[in-house]
Amino acid sequence: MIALFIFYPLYRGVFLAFTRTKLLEGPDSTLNGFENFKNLFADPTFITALQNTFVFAAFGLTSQMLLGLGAAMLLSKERKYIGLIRVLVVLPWFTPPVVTAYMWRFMLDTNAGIIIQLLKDVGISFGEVGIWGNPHLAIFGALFVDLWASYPFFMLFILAGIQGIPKDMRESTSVDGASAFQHFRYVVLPLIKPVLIVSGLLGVIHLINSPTLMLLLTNGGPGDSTLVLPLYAFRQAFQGYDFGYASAISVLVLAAIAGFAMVYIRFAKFGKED
Amino acid sequence: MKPKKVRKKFSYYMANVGITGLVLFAILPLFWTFYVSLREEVSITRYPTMLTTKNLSFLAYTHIWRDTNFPVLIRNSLIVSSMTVLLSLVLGTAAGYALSRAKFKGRQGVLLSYLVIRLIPGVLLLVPIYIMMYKFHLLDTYFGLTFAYTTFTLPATIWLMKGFFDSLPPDLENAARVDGCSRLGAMWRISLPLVLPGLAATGTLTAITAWNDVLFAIMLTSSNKSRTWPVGLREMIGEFQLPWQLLTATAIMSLLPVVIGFALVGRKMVAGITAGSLKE
Repeated sequence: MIALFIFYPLYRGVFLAFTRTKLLEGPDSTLNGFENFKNLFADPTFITALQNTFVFAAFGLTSQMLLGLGAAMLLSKERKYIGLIRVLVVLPWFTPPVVTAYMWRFMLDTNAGIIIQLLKDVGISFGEVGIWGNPHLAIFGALFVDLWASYPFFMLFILAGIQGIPKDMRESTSVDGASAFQHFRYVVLPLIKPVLIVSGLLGVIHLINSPTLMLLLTNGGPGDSTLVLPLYAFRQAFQGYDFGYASAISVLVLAAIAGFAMVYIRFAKFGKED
Repeated sequence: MKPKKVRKKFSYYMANVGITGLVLFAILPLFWTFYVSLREEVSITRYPTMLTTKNLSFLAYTHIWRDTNFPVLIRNSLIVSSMTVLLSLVLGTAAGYALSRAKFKGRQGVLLSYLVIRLIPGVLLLVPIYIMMYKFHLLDTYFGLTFAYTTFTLPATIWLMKGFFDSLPPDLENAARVDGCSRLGAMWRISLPLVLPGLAATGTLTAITAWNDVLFAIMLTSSNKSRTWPVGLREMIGEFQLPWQLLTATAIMSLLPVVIGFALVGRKMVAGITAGSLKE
C-alpha cells in the first residue's frame, strides 16, 4: 500500500521533473533533461518564492520553538485541571486549516477585524491597506497565524521530553543552591536537546512543505510577497497545468530538505558526543 | 527563608498568568468567531468591536443547513473520513502488530519510511496521484479521496499502533497461546481489546486528518458527488463578497466534530503522538 501510494508517485514525480508535461498540450510527456531546472533559475518568480520560503521558515521555526518551549515549561508541572489545560492549548493544532485561515483573515481584517480595530483604539494603525494588503506585513501576518496553529506541535514534543526527566532532579539541584534559571540552563536544556533537534527538523519540514495555509490566507499576495515554493508549485500544476515544471520545483525542495536533514542530523550527532 | 517564600509565591502567580494567557490565546479566537456567527451581518462590519447580546440568533446556521448544499458536502466529508479511518485502521493495526511482534528484515526500513514520507513535499505526490486517479477513473469519487488520504495517514497509524502494541506485556499473549490460542486468536482476543483506547485515539487522529484536508480535496474533486466541506467553504469566498456571518457559522459548524472527537480522546491521542515519536 505504502509502496503503491508513496513510492510509485514519488518515482513518477521525480521522473516528471525531467519531462515536458503540459496538460493543455495533451497527457503525454516527453523527456527534456534538465530543461525545467534551467528555466527555474532564470525565473524571477521562483527566486522571490525561494526568498519568501526562507524568511517564512526561519522566522516560523524561531517563534514557534520559543513559544513551544515556554509553554512546555509552564505546563510541565502538575496542577489542577492540567489535563484539560493541555488539551485546550493543543486545540489550534487540530483546527482545520480552512477554519484557521478564514478566522484569522477575519480577525485581522482592516475593517471588520477585532484585533486591528482594538489596536487602532490604542494608537497602533496599519493604514488603509491593513495587514493583508501590505506586501511588507502580509508575510508576518501569516507567520503569526502559523504561530497560533503550529506552536502546540513543538509544545507537545518538548513537554514529552521534560516529562522524561526524573522529578527529584530539581530537588537535588536546589539543595546544591542552583537557581531556577541555572537548573534550566544546565540540567533541563541538555536533557531535552534531542527532542529540540527532532522537533526542529519536523517543524522546518512542515514550514517548507505545506502550501495550505498560504493558499487559503493570502494566496501568495499582495503581489508575490507571500508566495512560497510549495504554493508556486501548486499553482504551476493546477492553474498552469505545467506538471513538469511543478515537479521540478518540488524535486528541488525535496533535495534541499533532504540535504538539510542529513547535514542537520550529522551536526546534531556530533554535538551529542561532546 | 522569608524572601524565598515570597519569590516562590510570586513565581507561582506568574505561572498562572502565563497559563491563562496560553489558554486564552488558543480559545479566544474560536469563541470570538462563534460570537460573530450569531450576530447580524450589518453590525459585524459597522461595529466590529462591539459586545452586545441584542439580536443574537442562530439564523446563519439554519440558513446554511436549509438553503445551501453544505449538508451534502458535510455528508461527503463524513463518508470519506469514515472510509479512511476504516482502511487505515485495518491495514495499520495489522502492520503495527507485525512490526511490534516480529523481527524481520526491512523492519527498520518501514519505520524509516514514516519519517521519509514527512520529507516529501505534498505537491510532488499530488501531481502523480492526480494522474493515477485520472487513469483509474477515480477522480471525483469517494474511493479516490480515501486512497489519497490513506497514503498520508497510514504511516502515522502504523507508528502509533506499534507503540500501543509495544506497551503490552508479551507474556499475556504467550499465556493465551499456551492455553491453546492461535497467534491470530491471541491477537484478536487478548491484545486488540487491550489497545482499544489506543485504537480509538488513532482512529480519531486519522479522521481529523481526513476531515481537515483541503489540498487533495481541491484537486481530486470536481462536483458535489464527492466534494468535501473545506472546498465548499473556500468557494463561499468567491461566490459572495466575504459574508462574515455565514463564513464564521460554517467554520464553527465544521469545527464541531473535531472538538467533540478531541474532547473524547484528546488526552490519549496527545500521549500516543509524543510517546511514539520519542521512542526511536
